[in-house]
Amino acid sequence: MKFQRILGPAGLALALGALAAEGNEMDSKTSMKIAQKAQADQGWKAEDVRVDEVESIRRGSCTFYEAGHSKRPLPYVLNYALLPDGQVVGLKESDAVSRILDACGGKDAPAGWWAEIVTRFHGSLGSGVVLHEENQEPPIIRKMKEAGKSFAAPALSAEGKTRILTFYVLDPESYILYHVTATRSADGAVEVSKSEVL
Amino acid sequence: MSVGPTQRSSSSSIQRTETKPDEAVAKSEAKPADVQPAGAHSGGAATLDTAYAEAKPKARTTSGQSYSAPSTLTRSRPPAEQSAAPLDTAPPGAKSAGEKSGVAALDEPTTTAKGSPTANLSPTELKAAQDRFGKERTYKVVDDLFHARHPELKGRQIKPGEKALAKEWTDMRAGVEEAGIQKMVADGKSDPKEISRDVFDARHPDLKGKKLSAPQQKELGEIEKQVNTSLEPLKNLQGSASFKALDAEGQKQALALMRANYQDPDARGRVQEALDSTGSVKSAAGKAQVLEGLVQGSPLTADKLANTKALLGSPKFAGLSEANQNLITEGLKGAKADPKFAENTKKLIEDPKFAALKPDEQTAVLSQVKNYPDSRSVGNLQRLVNKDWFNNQDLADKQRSLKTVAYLSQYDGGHRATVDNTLDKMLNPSSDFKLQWKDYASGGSGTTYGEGDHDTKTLYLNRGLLSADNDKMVENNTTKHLVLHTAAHEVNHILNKDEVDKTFKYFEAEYRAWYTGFTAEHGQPPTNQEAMEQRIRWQLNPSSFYGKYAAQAMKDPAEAQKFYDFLSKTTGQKVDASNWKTVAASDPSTWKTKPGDPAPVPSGNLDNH
Repeated sequence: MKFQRILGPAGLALALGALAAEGNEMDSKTSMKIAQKAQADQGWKAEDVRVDEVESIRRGSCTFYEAGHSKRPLPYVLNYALLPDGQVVGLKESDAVSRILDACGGKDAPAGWWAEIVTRFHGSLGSGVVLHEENQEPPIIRKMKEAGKSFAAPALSAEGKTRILTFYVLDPESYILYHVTATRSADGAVEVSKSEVL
Repeated sequence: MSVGPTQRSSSSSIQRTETKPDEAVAKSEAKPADVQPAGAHSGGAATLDTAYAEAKPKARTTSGQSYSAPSTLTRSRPPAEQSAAPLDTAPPGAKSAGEKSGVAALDEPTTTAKGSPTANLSPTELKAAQDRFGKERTYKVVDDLFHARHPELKGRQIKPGEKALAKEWTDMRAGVEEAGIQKMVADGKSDPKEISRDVFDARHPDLKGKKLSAPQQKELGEIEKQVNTSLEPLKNLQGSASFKALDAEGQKQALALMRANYQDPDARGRVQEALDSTGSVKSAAGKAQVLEGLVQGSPLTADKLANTKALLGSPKFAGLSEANQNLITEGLKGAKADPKFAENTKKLIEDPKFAALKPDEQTAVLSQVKNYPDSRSVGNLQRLVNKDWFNNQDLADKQRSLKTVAYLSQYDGGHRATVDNTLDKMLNPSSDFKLQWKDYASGGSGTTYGEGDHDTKTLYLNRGLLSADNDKMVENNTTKHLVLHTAAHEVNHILNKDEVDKTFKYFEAEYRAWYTGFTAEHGQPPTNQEAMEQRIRWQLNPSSFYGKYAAQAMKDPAEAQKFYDFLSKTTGQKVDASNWKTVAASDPSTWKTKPGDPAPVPSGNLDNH
């Protein structure tokens, strides 16, 4: 599994590499499907939608996309998942996380992938930069240490049939760091709580 | 040094002239009699003074002036007067309790001189009297002030025949004592006997707590007359119909208002009028809130009274429900009766657009008047109710808009000019900008704060991040970022008509909008380090939407050079295609610029003017 990193020399280079490759493997049919979904969700014109695949979280036959407005300087992108059955799900679907986990997660999906899915597709988050490694974003890690906090990578644990995911996510627009706890109960529903760290 | 009309007091400024009742004979408190200028005193007083001088210990200096210890005076005093305790301690200018000398006439209160006896004092003298009364012997205070006013006397006594000076000294003492009485009232005292005794004790500290002789009782009685006169405004207030109409809390606040303004005759004179103005307030709690605001905003200036009266006297105020009235009176309390707040609130409730709102919408508006008792907030709320985009919102979004505008209007932690310019875009009658609230994620708030659309000049803010109610805005990092940063940031995009592009210009447009939002929120532009850590790195990160366009722009060498130059400005390092990623990720401590210095200033409109 490959995750893009915000910065740090190695992370930035890795992310740039991903950018160079993007677009090449996405067929026009899929691109149009995502654009149409974004159009339906946001009222954007299909020709104003830019679609990029997020290769770092591709899993099995599940693919993931970001749709942005190619003209208006918006501070957000829309996240979509193309599931094996051809359905496109996004934030508008309240059960998006459950559906993606069911369709794409399997039993061995790592915590980092879970964290990306929850961050991108749960309504109480919607976006943000998941912190996967301690050296991923040195300034924010430094601030954590100054505040007496310690970094922890995304982690999954189980309590009976309940799965509990914890991770840190940075909102890059406000530069607010959150600690997130996502709980997936036996019935598949995912609840998320977040708290500011600094 | 002392001057005042007499006495046997070694330090007296006013000499008691037993044979010439109408004449004041002064001697210096500061100077022992034997060093006073020749002819400084005469007659019997001279004899006494000389006797005191002989018995007096060496003068000591206080604040450049000296006075003699009064305890030695008894030795020089005629036996018949030795029982008069005040003589033992009489300060400069003091006369003994119960004396029937001509000086007694000088000691009469001078309330009729110029209205209040405090009118005998200059503002500086009054301040000194207020500060010193009760802490120092009255006569010492009076002598000091008198000498300061008459340096030409060089500290000598008032001579027999210098009636004008003697009267001036006595008037001054009346002023000092009146200042003391008013201060006692201001501090909460109202028992005339208690106050009178305090005034007496200030004249004669050695008698404090002691039983008084008949002459001393007589002196105390004279003081009590003055005290009763001084307390008349307080008594009149308590006897007024408006006062009696108040509940216990209201009466407490009314008395507090009178006390708070007691030392200022002009302000004191306005208290009854202010109290009467609460007649239009329907609830007892509301009346008390108005009075409490006036107490906290004391002194009761003419404009505070006028504007409070105008607001409470407005037919529109009278027509409000008791609950809505209370929102205003609570606001008045919070604003400490700021006259501009009262003026703007009156304008708001008299605005036809306010009257056109539904009752629950009027309550929503007035709730923010209460929550943000600031004239700027109220002024902008009035502008808000005049905007069509506001009137087209439902109640919930109106509540969000109201708290956003009220909060931004009074927030002084940010950059006022930028915040005001941003608000003006939304509220100026001639502006066609709009604010709309939008859902960004189903079932949750997400982390999208908002966006700007320059085609429709609309600022969209995330509805899920601000609760719809009549409370204050909950202040946390998220809400502050929403209303302070995002509003300014997105309005900046609209003003600059920014569009996404594969150019440095777009990169800079995003940086500029962020720079403006940061400045609006924090009150100052970002530093190099803040800009790099919180924005530039993200805008260059290909996993961000911005970064994809930056990467594409940098494929053009000419555009790339602009990015390198920008990074070079921020870090002070030489930047080119080979190292820009490393530089962008470098530790600020390795930069050649100072990380704490202001970040590069982008081009374009930076304050949303």
